[in-house]
Amino acid sequence: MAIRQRTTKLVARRHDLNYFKRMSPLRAWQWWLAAVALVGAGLWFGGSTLVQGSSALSAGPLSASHAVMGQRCELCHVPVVEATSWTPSFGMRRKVPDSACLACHIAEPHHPMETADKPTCGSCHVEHAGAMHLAAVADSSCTQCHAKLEPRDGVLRVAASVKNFGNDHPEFRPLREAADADRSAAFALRFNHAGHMKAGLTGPHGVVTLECSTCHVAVLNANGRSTGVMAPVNFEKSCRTCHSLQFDAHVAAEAPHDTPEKVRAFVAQAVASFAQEHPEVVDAELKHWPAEAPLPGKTVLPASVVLPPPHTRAEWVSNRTAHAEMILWRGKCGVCHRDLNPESRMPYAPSAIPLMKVEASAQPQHWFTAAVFSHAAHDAVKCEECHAKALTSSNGTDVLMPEIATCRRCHDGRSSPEGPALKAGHAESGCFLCHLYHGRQKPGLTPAGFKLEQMAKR
Amino acid sequence: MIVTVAAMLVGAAIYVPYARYTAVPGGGTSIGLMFGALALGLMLFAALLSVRKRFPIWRIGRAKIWMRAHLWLGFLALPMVLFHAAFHARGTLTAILMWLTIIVVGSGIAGAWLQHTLPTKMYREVPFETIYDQIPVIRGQLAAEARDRATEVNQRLAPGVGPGATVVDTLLGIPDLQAETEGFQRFVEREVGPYLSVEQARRSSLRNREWTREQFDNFRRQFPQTAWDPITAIEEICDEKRQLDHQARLHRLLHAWLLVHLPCSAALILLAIIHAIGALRF
Repeated sequence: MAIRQRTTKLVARRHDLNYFKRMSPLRAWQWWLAAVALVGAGLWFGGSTLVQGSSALSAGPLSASHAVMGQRCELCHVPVVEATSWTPSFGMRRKVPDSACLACHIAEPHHPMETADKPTCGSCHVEHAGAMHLAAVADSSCTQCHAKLEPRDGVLRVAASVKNFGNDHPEFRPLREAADADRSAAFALRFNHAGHMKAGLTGPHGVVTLECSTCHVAVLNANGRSTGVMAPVNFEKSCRTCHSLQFDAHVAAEAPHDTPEKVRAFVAQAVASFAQEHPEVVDAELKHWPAEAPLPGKTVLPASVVLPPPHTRAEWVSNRTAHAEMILWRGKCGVCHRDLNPESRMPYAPSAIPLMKVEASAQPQHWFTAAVFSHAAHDAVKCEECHAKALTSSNGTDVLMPEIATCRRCHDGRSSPEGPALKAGHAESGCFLCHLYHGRQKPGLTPAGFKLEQMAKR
Repeated sequence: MIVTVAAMLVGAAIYVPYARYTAVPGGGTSIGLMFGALALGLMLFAALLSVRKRFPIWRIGRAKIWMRAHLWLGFLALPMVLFHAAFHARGTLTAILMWLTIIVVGSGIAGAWLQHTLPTKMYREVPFETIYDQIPVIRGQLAAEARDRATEVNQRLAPGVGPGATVVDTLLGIPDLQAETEGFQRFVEREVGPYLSVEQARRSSLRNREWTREQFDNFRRQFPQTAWDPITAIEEICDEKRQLDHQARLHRLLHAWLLVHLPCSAALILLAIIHAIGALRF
């Protein structure tokens, strides 16, 4: 039981009735700190504005390309044109007009039918989003049209619906559309990749094992660096070492890898020159025809063609030239090129060897017709990882470019171009990586005529 | 709460497709600006609570309604800010604004929880609760009362020598308790006095309720029953002081979050207005 009396009156009497006239220390601290925070925020912003100018209000850091102009907001944020005097003027446009971008950049139209309602530069190339590559636009910029493409003229030139590379992109066009006849017409060559990839082939200097890079090399730029584009296989560099175009045992020079007309002229001139320079050899062979040495390599003449023995030096030259042409057309050129001359398939006189008619090869340098690809960016990967079919292909008409599924093993659509960092274990898969919105020509810069002090910091 | 949840759901329903199909969603887009304007409006409304508190007699809605609106609509500002910025704050000013919003809303939630739970705890654990600002005054009164009660102990143990003593009292004689009385007075001077004069008195043993009870029980055993009432009264004074200390602790806990919430809110409002003006300008 409590000893002390504690009635309401006694408790009330204990209080100092003027207590509310003084601010409680806790409350005083709250207001003091609030005042300090207000002043601090104001001072911080004022200081930032003094040091950085308008960029203190920046919504985010500029891209690396534009960072130099980071303190010159007015270069892009063009002052409002006061055409309508009754509207309030805030001094600057909130969005940067295309004209500000086009003052420096050349941007080709997306396609010839592009009309006035084309998207603005800023709607795809979003600035103030960090050091990201401005060309790395979000897929949604493309899919807003390409997810359900409706051409104005009703003619679809590309896939009607593409939503992303990972799982909603058609197979590459050469694999998707090229018929066998088209491929045959395009390549016009007989080539056995598998045969050339076998180990222990016989070369001019002994046993060799070819690698992809023995024949396939990239086009180099002026600085000697790879452009990322593979050069067409060149006979002189890649084939002649093993596949000699020597046509006569007496003539050391090889035929040029050129048109049949030029080859014929070269052969005739070479044989005639030899006959003129070495009449004793010609005379000896007139007595003992044929008395030739075997040509290097596997050159087999058709058994049905038997050249008659020559009786004069002129006949020797004529027969010898015909012999050389048969070696070339049948045993050399014909290894890879198809002969389109119908006379070649009919019996013919040795005095009138039909001129080979080579089917033109139209092998494209760029397989992608609407995209770009850089082998240089994929140098770290073994060729056969992507071109696996090259190890088994025995037909020159095979399209050996990888299927889209091969690309998706890394470019699996699980990366986002919006962020500066890719998800670990996944390669970039954005549309921009392969497709150029502004055409195949690399967008360039047009001289805007800025002075350095107009661009650099204040 | 219903309004807040509904607004969040509507906001999310607008934001998700917007973020999915916009190249780079952000504050500069039309929908981003809409979220930003909403967020600023909600912040300004939440700030009006301070004005409402300064003028409690204004007939502009009940204080309870204002507080509820402050809590729920203020909380709604955070998702609106996140939707506005598309969960990215890239500039220095925008990053500061986002963090200030998170701190303000976070401290507000913490404060709301504290104010929801601590008053009950205080009601349960501090029966002698008084006005917080009066605690020093009450503490002084308790110290004075304790001194009086200690004097009363002496008087009761030596009625023949104190004021109003009678010859009979003196003659009847009382056991000689001089040593015990001096011990008790020494206890009051060295323990009780300092404990009552200082808030919290962290080094005092009297903060320990059990130890205190043992001490006073010991004194009660030493002295005749005539001295028990003032001794028990001093024990009760110590108990009340202990409760006042507890109340002070709880009170600080109850209001300390405002030391974060209020200054951050002030800075947030100022910088948000600057940000809004900047957004209109650029």
